[in-house]
Amino acid sequence: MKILTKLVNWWYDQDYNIDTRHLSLFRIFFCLYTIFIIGVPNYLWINTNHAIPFFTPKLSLGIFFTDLPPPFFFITITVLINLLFGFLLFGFFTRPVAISLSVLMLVGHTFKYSFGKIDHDIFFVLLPLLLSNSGWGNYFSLDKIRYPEIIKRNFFSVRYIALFFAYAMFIAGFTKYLGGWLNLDSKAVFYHVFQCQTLVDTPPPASSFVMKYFNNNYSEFVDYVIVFFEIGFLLAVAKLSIFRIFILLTLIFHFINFITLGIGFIGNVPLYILFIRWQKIIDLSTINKLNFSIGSLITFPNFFIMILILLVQFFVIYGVNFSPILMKVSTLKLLFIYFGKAYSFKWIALPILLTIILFSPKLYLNQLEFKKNTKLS
Amino acid sequence: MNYKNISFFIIALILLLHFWIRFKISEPYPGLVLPGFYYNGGNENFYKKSKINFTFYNTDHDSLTILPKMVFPGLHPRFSNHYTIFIWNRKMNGSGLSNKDEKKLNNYLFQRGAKLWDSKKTIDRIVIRKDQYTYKKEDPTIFFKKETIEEWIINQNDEKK
Repeated sequence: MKILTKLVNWWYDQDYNIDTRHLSLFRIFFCLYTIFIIGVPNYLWINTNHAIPFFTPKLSLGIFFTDLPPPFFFITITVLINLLFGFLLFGFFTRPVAISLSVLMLVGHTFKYSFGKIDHDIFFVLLPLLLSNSGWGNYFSLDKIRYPEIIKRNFFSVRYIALFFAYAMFIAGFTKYLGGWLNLDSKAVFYHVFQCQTLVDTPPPASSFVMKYFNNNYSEFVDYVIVFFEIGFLLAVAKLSIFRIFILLTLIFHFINFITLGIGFIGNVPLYILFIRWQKIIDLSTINKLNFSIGSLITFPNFFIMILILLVQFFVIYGVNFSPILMKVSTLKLLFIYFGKAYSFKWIALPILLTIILFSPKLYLNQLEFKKNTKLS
Repeated sequence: MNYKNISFFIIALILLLHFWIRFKISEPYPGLVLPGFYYNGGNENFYKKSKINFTFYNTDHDSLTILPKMVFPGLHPRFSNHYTIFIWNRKMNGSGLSNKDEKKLNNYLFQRGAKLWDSKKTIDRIVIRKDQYTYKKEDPTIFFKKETIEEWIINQNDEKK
């Protein structure tokens, strides 16, 4: 027990802390990324057609329902989520808003997932909740204008987000191990790609390449690499520098996933960004241009404009979901494509992931600094 | 023991509980929580006789692959992102599904809007009835139900030929 306690203490000595200013900047990035890139979660489609029978998983909120809730329920949570993202962007009642956002998205996802498809966006849903206590509303926020004194915070969140992500990756790897990926004749990756190539209407760009060159016993090697990489994540969390290397590898891994299997993992981008070397990349400790310009944008008039934009966005999605006439209007269709996420997803995932990968050595690795220091010495 | 240790052990306990639910409760009973079947089986108990092992082309093995096209091939594009495609494998010379397993399979398919219509006890075929929903191309807002019965009878010898 003593050794375990010592280990935990040692782990707590690892510097996972992120400065409150940087966390506040991350909050703005998270909201802007959600509102303008991947789209605010939309649950309106769930009860527009009773095409699919409702299934109630026993370990979920679904047990309280015998059928899907009425459309009004989904309208309410969707409009609330839209508004709350505006609140969070401007840091207005940050803590309760962050908690409410996660709770509402969890409720929406309960019904979204009740049809059987489990997506990869659980960290996107949980991030506001996990960061609610981190002090990410202390700067660049309306809360700061309302209460200029600094609010007390602790460093609980980021460290445990790393642990949760590592655990999630471990679970993914462990499931693959149980599923027989390490059997020498499984060729699991190859047949996953095969599945994508043959069964999906528009196969991912590189799946045919894999089909052509990986239909041999060497493809088993890829299975091994993936299983060990995912399981190894749980050990990597012990040290931040190693964890960052694993995040970088995850970026590359998920990029390959996207071009071969069509899985974008675009909802995880904020999580990857959370672990960049904030202090080294963006200087917010002194009063500079960036500090000033971000601060000047966080005002009450801008907040109301954003709320208006989010309401308009909601009504567009609402109209497209419920009006057959509007569905035929091409401009609105385009808007739906942009805000509704479903179509734009694959076209934005590729450039975003590629950009982060290109910048990743600077974002995640200490190597460049090390070289500079040796030159100086 | 300080607060760091206490909070760590609470979190560790939660993760262990999740691990236990995920691998001990969820997997053998698809009806309890939505399972992660995607990874090549992932559940030795359930898939002992019908294991997903991606051997569609591997005719050297005594396995049989049931390859449904999609659960909902004609589904509206708005919904098409919400479904996963599954490949079902059955051991060619193995025994058939037990009643218990058949119930589980039925439950599993039900979650995905499909029904197990018939499964012979000496498995050389599996039939899945699909209540397929599709839409008119001229007006994608109107859905209509089209019930189809799809049957895959894949004989290993035929496959080898």
